[in-house]
This record gives sequence, structure tokens and C-alpha cells, in this order.
Amino acid sequence: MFPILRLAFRNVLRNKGRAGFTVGAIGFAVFMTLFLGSFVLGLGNAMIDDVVQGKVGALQVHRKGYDDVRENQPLDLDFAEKGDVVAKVMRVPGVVSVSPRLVFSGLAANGSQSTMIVATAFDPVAEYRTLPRANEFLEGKPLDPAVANGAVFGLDLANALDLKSGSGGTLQAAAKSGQQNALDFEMRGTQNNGNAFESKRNVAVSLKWAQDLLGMEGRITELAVQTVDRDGIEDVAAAIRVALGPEYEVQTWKQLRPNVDDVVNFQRLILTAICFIFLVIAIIGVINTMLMSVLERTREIGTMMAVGMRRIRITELFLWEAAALAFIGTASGLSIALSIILTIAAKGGVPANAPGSTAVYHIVPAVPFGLLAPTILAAFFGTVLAGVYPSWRAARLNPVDALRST
Amino acid sequence: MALVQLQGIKKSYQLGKTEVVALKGVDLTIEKGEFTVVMGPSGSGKTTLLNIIGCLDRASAGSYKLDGEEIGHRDFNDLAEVRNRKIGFIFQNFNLIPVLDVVENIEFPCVIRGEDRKVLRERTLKIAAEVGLMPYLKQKPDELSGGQRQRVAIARALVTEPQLVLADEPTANLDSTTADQIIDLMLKLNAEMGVTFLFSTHDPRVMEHARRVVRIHDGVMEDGTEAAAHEAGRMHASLGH
Repeated sequence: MFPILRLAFRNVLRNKGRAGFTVGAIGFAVFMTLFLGSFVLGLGNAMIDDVVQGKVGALQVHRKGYDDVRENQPLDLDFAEKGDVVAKVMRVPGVVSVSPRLVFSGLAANGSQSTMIVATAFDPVAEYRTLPRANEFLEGKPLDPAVANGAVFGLDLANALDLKSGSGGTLQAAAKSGQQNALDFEMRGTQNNGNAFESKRNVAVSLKWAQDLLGMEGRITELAVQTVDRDGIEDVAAAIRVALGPEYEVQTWKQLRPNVDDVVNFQRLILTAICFIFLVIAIIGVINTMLMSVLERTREIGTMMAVGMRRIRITELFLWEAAALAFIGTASGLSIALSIILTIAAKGGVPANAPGSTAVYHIVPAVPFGLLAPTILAAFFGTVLAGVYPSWRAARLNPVDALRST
Repeated sequence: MALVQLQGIKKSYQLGKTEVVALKGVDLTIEKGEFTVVMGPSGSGKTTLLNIIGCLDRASAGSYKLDGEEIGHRDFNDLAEVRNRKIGFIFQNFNLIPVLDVVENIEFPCVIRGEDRKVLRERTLKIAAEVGLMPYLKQKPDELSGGQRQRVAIARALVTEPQLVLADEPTANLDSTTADQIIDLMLKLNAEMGVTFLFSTHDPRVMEHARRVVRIHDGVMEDGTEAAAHEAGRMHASLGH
């Protein structure tokens, strides 16, 4: 085996320009796949992290039927803030923290004008523990347990009502009983996460203050849940469904924000298509190079056959040459891509806009095993596969015709 | 004892819709240790004959026995095995493998059959010394002269310890001095090692030394006599050599 392998390597190196071109094509395909892939995955991770750690949590628990009327922010599908439900959820393996919430709609007024709002009320300590990136796009101060009537507005909403940090206003809402109540709030900061709807409509207030406003002491309508890691979210959701029974519904971030999941999946689909095109181009290059090599070395192949080399050995020789090209090309593309990607990652990534959003994410390129392994395997075995036809052509040569070749 | 026995060998090719008959029933017997030349004009069928004897091609009809064994109908891999074990080839264009050095080129037929490297290396060095290649063992073919390349080809043909060496115009691409040296070398190896040589050549110097000259014309064997060799010798002398 070894002499054939050595001969294959020397044959690869005999025409350095052509070998370089082929290796370059394979290396470029590997490089582009990893480089583009790392950023697409990095952007996807940033978008998912934004949702999971900054907006909705890994999953949410509501009373059964809540999702069907979610747009109305119903208050009658409520449950106890410190009751059995929260305790059962906290006992499910994989759950690291929960944030009780009360979601309601109302009117925000600055004294001279008012507008519709959708408010999410939460305990700041529990919320920021459950959603550590909740304040990533915050300007001003976050909610604080010490400031009971603090409020954080969406940027566009704050601008529309001309609210600044430290200024105040009134928030009016219908209590669970139907009675209209109003309380004064103190403006603490603005959120601009790039989502136009949220920027124009959303307000965050403290849970205790909202419960007073709505006459719902100790009651909540939503439980945001954070899990140990993203990969186990579906399992945790299933376990919570079992623990809570049919009276409650559990939705993961994918169900709560399907558009984000769709965008991430679409990005990955496009990436796969682009990488496939790169690979096909590289494979065509390898087939072309090796066919030229067979053509140029026809008499040499004839000589090898004349001295007793079997067809299978000829095939083996050319497949080893393809493997050598594949190895050098894959290794060079891999090393260049990884060195650039890891350098960028070490510097904290690059800022970029998420699709459909004005928010700037910090994209840290990621090269998970799920990207690395298929890239290496596809490049290596794709190239070797590309060598099959030229190898077959070489092995099927008639020795007499091959020896006669010039 | 007969090494090569051909009886009624026919070979025809299909060229489009036309059937071309290259050999029309050749009978030939070559004894072990002979130094034989096949001569004939271009298109006479001598290369086809050598290809069949060298197991590179198969006859359309007839019987071919090599060392008493019928091999005319064996498949490609069997014929590859026969070529590797029993036949050495020397080509007009040397046909060395350019990426291998002298030693590797010589050893190549034995390496592909998986021979023990240590034993092989000893034999290679002995043959390399025999053909005068010791100073060039690590040179690549493109660093050698034509004569040196043909010596490598001869060493490669002999390293498998074959029963028959087929040489197709081995001196055609060499100057006269080098050609003489190569002929002398092959004569010496024939005498010392008892290897059977079969040549296809137009070179009168080769024919002069041949112990037997076989003529082929239009696919038919004409004769094979000592006289033909003497005639070749006279032709050589008349050319002023």
C-alpha cells in the first residue's frame, strides 16, 4: 500500500500548478463553507439567544387556551404567582429559573396625549435572572424593585409620548373585574430591540405595581422559564406538560416566535445550497484535473500495465491521488478558515443587523461539530468520489493502445 | 526447450466496418536462451506479434504457449500476472516513470507484486551494477541521458528475473555509440544470465548480433534462419560500421 500512496503523492506534485489549482478549489469550497457557515450560525445563535435570553425565555407556561386569545391579553386565564404551578415547574430537571409575568393592555398618557400599550409586568430580580439579556438594548435604567412604579417604554412609544428618563405619566387599564384603574408611573428607560411593533407598543412595569393596578394581587398570566441549555428545551417542555397536566399549555420559543425559527432555518437552507454549489464546482474541478492527468499519463499507465500492474491497482493509484488532493485541499481550507474564524471570535465577533431588524447584534462566528464534520466529510469524500470516474477510465485503458499513446 | 510456442496465431481488428487482419496464422517457436530478432516493414504485423507474445494483447485465433503453458485465453489480470512474473519489456521510448528515481523505477515491477524490500534491494543493486547505473541510483529519469535511461529500462526488465525479455526498437532513439553499448550489454546479459531476448528492430547492428532473424510480411511469417542474421551483418558492414 505504501509505495502506491507515495507514488500517488508524487504524481499529485508533478504538476504543481494544476495541483495547486485543484487544491485551491477544494480549499476555497471548504473555507467558504466554514466561513459563511460560522457567520450564519453565529447570526442564528445571536437571534435565538436574543429571543431565549432576552425576550420570551426558553419556554412559557400559560393557562389552557391562552394562546388562542393572546392578542387580547386576557386576565381571566390567570394562576397563582407563588402556587403549585411555579413549584412544579421549578422541580422539572433542566429548569434553572422562572419569571412570573402579568401581560395586559391599556393606555399610557403623558398628560396631554395617550396611546394604546401592551404591558408586561414582572419582578425585576426574577426577570433579569431568567432573561439575562433582557436589557441588552436598554437605554437608561432597568426596572428596580426599589422603584415600585418604574416603567421601561419601547423607544418609538416613548418618543411619541415625549417621555424621557425620569419623567412621569399615567397608565390606565381595565382591571380583571372590568373596572378602569389608573396609576402614575416613573419613566426609567427605553428599549429598542429593532422590532417596530414592540418599539411602538411595549411597556415593562413591575409585577407588584401591575397587580395593584389590575386588582390581581398574587396572580399572574404567564410564566417565562429558562433552561440549562438550548438543546434540551423540547425535553424540558415535555416534562413540564406532564407535570402540569392538561390545564396548562407550554410553548417553546420556536412556537412563541416562529418567525425567528423560520429565519434561522431559511438562513441555514441557503447556506447549505451555497455550500453545495461550492462543493459541486470543486468536484468538477477535480474530475477535470484528473481526466487531464489520465490523458497526459496514458503511456505511463500503459507501461505500468505492461510490467504487470493490475487494473484494480491503477484504480487505487488514481483514487489515492484524489485522496491526496482532497486531504491537502481540505486541510488548507480548514486551517485558513479556522484561524480567521477563531481570530474574529476571540475579538468578540462583528456587529451586524439581523434580517428584518434595526437592532445590532454582535455575531460571534461559531464552528460547531455539526458544521465542521459534514464540511470535512463532504469535501474529502466528494473529492475522492470525483476521482472514481477518471480512475475507472485509467484502469479500463487497453495496454497496447496506452503504450502507443504519445 | 521451447519457451515460446505459437501455432496458427491470427489477429484481426475491426476498424469501423472494415476488418483488418494483422496476423494470418503465425507459427513460431523460440527456444530458451535465444537472442532473436523479428524484422519486417511497417504494418507487417511485427508489433502485433510482439504484443501477443508479451501478453499485452490476445490473439483472435491460434495457440500460444509460454514455457509450456497455454496462456492465449487468460483474462486481463492473469495476463498481468504473467507479464509481471515471466516477461520483461524494453521500449523504444524507455517508458520510465518520471516521478520515480532510478532505483524505484527498477524495483517498480517487484514492488507492485509485494516483494520483500530487503531482498529486492540487494537484487536491484546487483543488476544496477551490472548495467552500469551505480552512480545514478538517486537520479530521476529526466536527469539521465538516453543511454542511461535505456539501461534503467533494461534493469527494470531483468529485476523480475523473467524468462523472456521483449525489446521494441530498443536502440531507435539512441546514438550509434550508445546503441552499440546497449546491444553489447544485452548480449552480455543473454550470455551470462541465459535470459531469452526477442527484438523488434530495423537496426542492422542488432540483427548482426542476432542468432536468429525472423521475417514477417503482411502478417505472414516468412522464414527464420541463421542466414538472415548473416545478411544483416553484411548490411551493417556495408553501412560502414
